[in-house]
Order: sequence, then C-alpha cells, then structure tokens
Amino acid sequence: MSAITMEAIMATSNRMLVPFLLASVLGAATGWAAPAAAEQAAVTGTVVERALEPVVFGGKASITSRVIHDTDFGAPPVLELIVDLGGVTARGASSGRAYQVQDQAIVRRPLQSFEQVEVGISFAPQGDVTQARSAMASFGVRYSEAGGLKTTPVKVEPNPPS
Amino acid sequence: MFLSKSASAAVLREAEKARRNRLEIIQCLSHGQVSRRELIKWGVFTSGGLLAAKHGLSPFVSNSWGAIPTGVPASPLFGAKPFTFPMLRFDVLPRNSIGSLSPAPTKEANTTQQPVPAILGGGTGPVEGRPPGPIWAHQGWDDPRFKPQVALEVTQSGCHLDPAGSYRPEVPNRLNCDFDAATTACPPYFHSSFPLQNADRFWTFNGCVPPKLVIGRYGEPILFRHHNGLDPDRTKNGGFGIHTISTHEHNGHHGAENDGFTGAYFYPGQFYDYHWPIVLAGFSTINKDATDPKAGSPTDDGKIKLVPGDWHETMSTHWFHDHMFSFTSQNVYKGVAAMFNIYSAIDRGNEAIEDGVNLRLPSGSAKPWGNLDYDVNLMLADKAWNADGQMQFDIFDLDGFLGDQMTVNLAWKPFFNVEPRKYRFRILNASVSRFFKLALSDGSPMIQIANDGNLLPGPVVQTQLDQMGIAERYDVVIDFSRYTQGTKVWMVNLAEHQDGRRVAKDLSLAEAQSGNSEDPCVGRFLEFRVVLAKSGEDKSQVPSVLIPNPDLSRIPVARERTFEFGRGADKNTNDPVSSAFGPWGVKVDGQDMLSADFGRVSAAPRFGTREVWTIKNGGGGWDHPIHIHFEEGQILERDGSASRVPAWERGRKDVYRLRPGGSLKITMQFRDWGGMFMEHCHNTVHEDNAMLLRWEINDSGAPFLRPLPTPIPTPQGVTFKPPTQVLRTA
Repeated sequence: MSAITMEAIMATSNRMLVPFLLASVLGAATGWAAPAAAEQAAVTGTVVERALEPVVFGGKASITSRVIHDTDFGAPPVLELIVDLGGVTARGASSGRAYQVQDQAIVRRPLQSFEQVEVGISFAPQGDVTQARSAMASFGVRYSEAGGLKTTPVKVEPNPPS
Repeated sequence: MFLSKSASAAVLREAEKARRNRLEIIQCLSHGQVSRRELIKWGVFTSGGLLAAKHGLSPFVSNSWGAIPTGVPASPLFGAKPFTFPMLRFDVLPRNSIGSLSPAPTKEANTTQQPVPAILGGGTGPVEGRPPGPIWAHQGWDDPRFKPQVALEVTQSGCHLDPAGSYRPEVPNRLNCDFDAATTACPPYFHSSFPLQNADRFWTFNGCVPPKLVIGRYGEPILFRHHNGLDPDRTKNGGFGIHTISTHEHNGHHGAENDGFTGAYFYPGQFYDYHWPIVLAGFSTINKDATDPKAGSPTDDGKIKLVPGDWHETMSTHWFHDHMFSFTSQNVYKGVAAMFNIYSAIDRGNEAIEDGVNLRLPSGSAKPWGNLDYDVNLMLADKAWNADGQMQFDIFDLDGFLGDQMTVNLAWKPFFNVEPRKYRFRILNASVSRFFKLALSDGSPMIQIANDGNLLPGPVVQTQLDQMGIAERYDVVIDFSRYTQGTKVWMVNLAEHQDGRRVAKDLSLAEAQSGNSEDPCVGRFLEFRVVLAKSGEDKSQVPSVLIPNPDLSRIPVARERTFEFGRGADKNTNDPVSSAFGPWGVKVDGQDMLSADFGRVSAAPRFGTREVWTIKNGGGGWDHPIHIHFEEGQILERDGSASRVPAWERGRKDVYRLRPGGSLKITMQFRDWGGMFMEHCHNTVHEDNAMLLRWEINDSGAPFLRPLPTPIPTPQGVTFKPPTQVLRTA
C-alpha cells in the first residue's frame, strides 16, 4: 500500500475505514471497475392500493452488481446495482388479472458490508401505463471479500405514507 | 459548496475568510488582470487544477478527501420558507415578422461598421459578430424551404425590473398560480423575501425573469437575432462571467454557423443572426418530396403541412444557452439559458385533435397547436448566493461547482397549482455540475415519454427517474387525478453529491426526505398543490407507441472512433485565444489525452456517412454527461452490452451519461449541413477546463475547405487562422 493511501486512511474517520480498505485491495486487483455479476432474487409480497384489488407479487428480479473504484482521488468504492424487475409477476388476488411490472432502477451507493436497498416498483393493468400504481421493493446486499456480492430476496410492500 | 451541518463556528469563520480571499482572485481572473496559467505558476492552483491547500485559501487544509472542497458559508434565506413562492411559467418570446428586423438579415455576416467603445479597443467593428465570408454564410439561405418566416429578437443584458404586462406566459392566470401578468411585474429575485439580484450578477435574455421560451414548429424557419447588451467593461460582471457570448441551440439540426460554436463569440454592441431552419433530419435524402403523412408541421387551422425528412427524427424539447469558450459554466449560471418547444404533426401541442397522426400528449386544446396549459417547462438549477443575497460562483474547484439552493424556473423551492389530470413536464437540468435523480414524494409513478427532446419508442413507467446529467431533458407525464382535492405532493431529488465529480449516493425516497443529508439540494424542492378544479375533460393520451427509432442499419458504417474522457490532459498547443488549460481532456483513438483547443480538428466525418463512436469514461471517480452537437445518436451498447441500455435510453439522444467507469457505443449519421461542431462534457466546469473538442464536416460542398479555418473574434472584426492541429486520425 502506498504512503499516500496510508495517509489518507489515517485521516479518514472509522466509518469510512472499511470501504477504503476494500478500495485499496480491490482497486489494486481489478483496476477501476470490477466485472458485473448478475443474480436472480425471488420476489414476494402483497400490496393493497387504493382503488385497486390486492396485488400479489412473485417471480424473480434480476440484480446486476459491480464495484467501481476511484483510483485517482481515492474516494470509497461505489456499489452499482441494476435492478431489473421485468421478471416479476403481479396478479390481482381476486380477479386473477395480470398486472404489468415495468421498472428498472439503477442505484449507486458507497460500498458497505451490508446495504438495505429500496426501489420503487410500478404495476399497471396490461398495456395501460396511465393506470400505473406503485409500491416499494426492498432487498439487502451483502458484500465480503471472499464471497463477493450476495442479495437477499426482494420484498414488495406498500409505499410508506409521504 | 456546503459545509457539514455540524461544522464549528471556527470552521465557518475560516471558510468565510477563505471565501473572501478566493473572491479577490476570482475577480482578478474574470477581469483579465491575471491568467489561469499565472495562478498555476504562482502555486495558487496545482498543476492538477485543484485549489492549493493553503491556509487562507482552502478551509479544508487539514481534512481528508471526504471534506467538501470549497466550503463557503451556506446561502442565507432571509427568513423565507420553502414552498411559499409560486413557480411561474416560462416567458414566451414574441414571434415577429422577418420585416421587423432592422437591419434586414443577410446570408453572409453583416459587416457594416460601427464605432467600438474605447474600452474594447476603439476604432470600428462590424455590427454582426458572425464570422464574415462564405464559410460562415447561412447554409440553405437561398432555398425557399429554409427562408426565415419568424423573427425572434432578444438582448442579453443585466437583470432589471420590466413593467407589468411584458411577461407572456400564454396560459390563463389560474394555470399560472393565479399570477396576473397583465398587472403584476416580475422582479429579478428567487423569492419575494430575497434581495433583488444586481444587474452585474444576473444576465438573462432581455434582462428579465422568468426564463424565456421559444415556440417553433417544423417547416417554419426562425431567424433568432441575439443582441449582446452586456457592459463593454468586462469588470462589470460581479466577479464571474464574461461579456462575450455564443448561443448554442441545443441540439438543433442546423448548419454550424448557427450552432453557437465556442469560438464564434460576439461582443457587447454586436448582434448575431442565428438561422434555425427547423428541419427533420434526413431531409436531403429521405421523404424529399414531403409525402409522408407523419412528417409534418401543425398549421393555424388545425391541420398538417407536410415537410421533407424522416419523421422518426422529430424532436420536441430543446434549450439554448451560452457556449463561450472557457466561460460556459459561469455564463449559463448567470442566466444565459432558455428553452425551445418544437411542435410537429406528431407532437402537436393539442390533445384533442384526432387525425391518426397526433399523439395527443397532455397540452390543452384552446389553440390549434402549441398549447401550454398542461405542458409545463421546468428548468432545474442549483444556485448559491452570498450574505447580501447576490449570486456567487467559485471557479476554483475544477471538479465542478455545486450550489446549495434548489431553483425551478429561477424560483427558490416554489409551489405550483395543478388540476387533477395529466400534465406533461419538460424537465431540463440546467445546473453547472449537479446531477439529479427525481421522484415524487409518495413514490407514485411517472411516465417518461422523451429523453433529450426526443420522444421515446414507447413510454416508460418509473417511480424514480435515472440520474439526470447536466443538459439532459426528460419529458414526463404525471397524472394528478390519483390525488384528492387539496393534496400536496412534492418533487424530490434523490441524488446526493459530495463534490462536482459525480453523485456520491443515490438515496432512497425515505432517506432523501428525512432531512439528514449533508447535501442541501437533496429532498423536496417543488410542491405540487392539487387545488384547481378540473376545467374540462382530460382528452390527453399516452399512446403505447411514440416515435420508433430511425433505421440506420442499412447504412454502412464508414468509420469507428473512440473518445476517452479523462484527467491529466496535455496542452500541446499554445494559441492564446483558441487553446485552454485544465486538468480535464479527451483522448481520441488512443492518442494523447489533450486539453481543449477550438483550433484543433479532432474528427472529420464524411458528409452523409454513418459512424460508430465509442465514448469512454477514463476513471471510476467521476461521471461525465457527454454532449455531441448537431446529430442525434442511438446508443448501441452500454459497457459492452446492448442489454445494459435501459428502456429510457433506447430512443435518440444528444447527451450521453458515461457513468463512473462506464462506456457507450453510439451511432450517428452526418448529413444535411456542414461546418465545425463540438463534443464535450456538459459538466460545464469540466468543459471549461478543458474537456472539449472540435469535429467538423468539411466536405459538404463549396465553399468548404479542408480543414476549415478557425475564427478568432475581436471587437474590430473576426479574423481567421489555420487550425492549430489536425489529428492524424481525424
């Protein structure tokens, strides 16, 4: 590890120490961007939305992740997640009607050993985007040097009140 | 731009002291009393372009990378509360006859001489600042299809208070927060509790607020006469900005003489005639006889006039802004920015006309075309002001400039009254370096219909939009009919910055609204009040098919090029006018990473051909929104994969966010017009220091030369020089 990096670590608060060490290790190994890894995460949840019947969610979400390093400025590494909900199913609990789920989200957060991620998910009666409603999809991302990135199942819940 | 909320009084005092010291240097620099080169020589800047970590200059000398770099005190709010000031609609520029222009516009620049003020060197100079002669003559001027039909005449000037009645929102008062434009003036402030901006700080079109909107339509060429009414004394600038300007119509498909080339700037006392023919790209080869029913322009009787060109190239939402070499960030920040709605057979601005072509997007129906009732322009920009409430800008952080206060349409955290129905919002990121990530406070969906002014192949429903880079435009439809009368819902920014290099963290909706972020521009910034009664049936639609992409697959790829945007650029040319110095640069086809020089030709695509360009980010520590002038492109791959191109980027674009460590492969066809254009980072601090290159189409017929001579403007007239360099791969 270079003297400059050591100096930076010494001057950094404990909160930032873990990601900084990861940056040093991974940055040296892979340059500024580790290869992306994709995972299929199971999706569960039921949402009751005003003016709609309860909607039951299932299927799989595709979560592609990679770690991006800043070898120029030495900022903490960033976790980039591409959450594709195209494989998620949504069905009306009483009518059996299928709802179209059409969301992809890209989220960048400082790399932590564990991160709870929340993204919106929209669902609409087939083909009618003007009728779309939304809910909250949440999942965890765990990182370890040995195991890489692992995601937990995705839970879909109603949006919290604003 | 901001210190931690927990910063001690001593740190704040230190920051204020450092700010004053820096201010002196900024003023000297902007007044031309010292050059950036000299500051580096003296050790005030590091060679990497960073402010030297010296006591009295940087308040963060002892801090690590995690500190905010510039650390000026927070902008005072003078007791104002958020969401107490109305967001006014844009001010629509009057559309006049060409005969109203005096002197009449000319094909080549009007070189009639006029006296030049002594402070600009005296003697005489041309009335028009456009470079003279045939190369900068208006292309297509003699073709009746491109003959200007509408004149727009504006003057860039310091802000002032216009009398009531001069503001033209072109919507009923009830749809403009009950503002009565006929009886009420619009003072140049961001909120009624704030001081009026001084004329040397705030330079706007016609010197007034709200920002200006041009209404245009295909097949109706515009002559945009831009007068430079700024003070000839360059020191009358409030310490930042420069009084020479060049206006880029972003992203017009016009000849280069009308593109706002960074080196084709003009001086106080001069005007520049920009000819915007408003044509569908491909008009010289596709649908030449204008028979395609979807390639058209709305007429005043509610019908369509057919025009040549490819209707798949129809555009909708543009903006125009200053592009002055090395000063774009400061001048745009000072207010040299406006928007331009382009109407077409497809995107009519009338939601009621059913003719099988009109998409009937939310707009209104009182007028045959161009209704703004439910079609609202939003210009987002972060600003900062000093203890006197006057806008301030810190040029020292070459990674980027971040304000600590959010404005929409030049109003601080405003409110906007809406009906319970669908609205279209044309959202522009007009910041200097800040990215946004937008959501509604209750997580409700928005329907993105356009990206960079181009309607997407199909609508994309999103609960939070993707990060939005500087100069990107997202058109979204929000349906307020889901809310009960009296409901308030807010637009929220989820993108947290620590510096101008990139977004530090995408926050969740709950985090962004918690008030815990150290970034003051995170959270709620625009309040929608669902308080208006519905005035009629909402006849608008969001069809499942909007504009499919033009098919370029049958056009052979003539050339592939690679552009890498990064840090550590070499300055290999030394022209005192055309070359810039800074840490940022562009590496073309694997050659050296070079600083900007508008005299250097970096690429020269052949007229009519199609090329594939790979644009790469040179590192993981920053993001760059790369703008390519003139032609819209299609993204073929992101990070080496077509499947990584998200749905909202599968239309046409003109600003390409690289993302940290990312790359893009795009394709474009170069056609219809020629001349010198640009490619640059639209983080305008990066652009100014010096992440910009010139490319040109120089074989589109006489009188073009290879390569084109570089214009060197002076108040006494524009001279020309041979290019300082032509890259061997150009």
